[in-house]
Amino acid sequence: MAGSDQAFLSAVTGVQPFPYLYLGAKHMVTGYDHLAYLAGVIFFLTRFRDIATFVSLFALGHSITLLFGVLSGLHVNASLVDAIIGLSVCYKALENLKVISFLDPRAAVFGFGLVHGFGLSTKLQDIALSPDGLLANMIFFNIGVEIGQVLALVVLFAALSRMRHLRRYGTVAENANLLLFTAGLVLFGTHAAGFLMA
Amino acid sequence: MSEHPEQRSRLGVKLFSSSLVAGVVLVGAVLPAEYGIDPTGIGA
Repeated sequence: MAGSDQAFLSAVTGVQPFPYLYLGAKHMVTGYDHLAYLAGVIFFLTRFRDIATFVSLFALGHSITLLFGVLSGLHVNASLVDAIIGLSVCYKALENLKVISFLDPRAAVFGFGLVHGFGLSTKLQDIALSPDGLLANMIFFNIGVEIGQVLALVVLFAALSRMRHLRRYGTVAENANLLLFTAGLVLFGTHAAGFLMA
Repeated sequence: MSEHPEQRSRLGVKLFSSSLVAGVVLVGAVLPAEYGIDPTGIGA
């Protein structure tokens, strides 16, 4: 989280709806690990119902662990969580490339949603949160995350739809997922190194 | 996407190449920039 946001959150007390909504949305829209994963999840989805199902499962997963993580005060290692988030991007890319299929994709998106939620909760725990109004603030942050997610999905879906009209879409889709796989590995390596270095 | 054995092995090669690219980015850029570890000495 950016220094100025952090200083602000550490200084305020009580219920702060707008700041937490904003920070939740900002975290999602600027968090390229979440964005890469979402892009992978909706890559081959064209029907609104399917997108709604997968995104809801992801949102349910990360909401559970975000609220549980912060409210219970459970401290998960941020680097470890971010490393697994990197692997979730690789997993989704491999699923899209039809290399792996041993889990129902819906179960996988829910499971990785749980991991992404710990990522969100550790980011919030890094700053001194006032216990005053904690529950309400967490919920506002969570709603902000979902707003940011919908905004990101609109842009991602528009881009992916345009991609479908390209000639040789099959090759483009394969290369895009290979790129996601590479990005996931870089994210994994970055945070795994951070974990080992700590 | 790749139903035929030949296409699958080609995908395997591409996945391996992708992993190599990730490794190069990690060693050449991420480690020096994030952790001050510069095995290639490019940053020196």
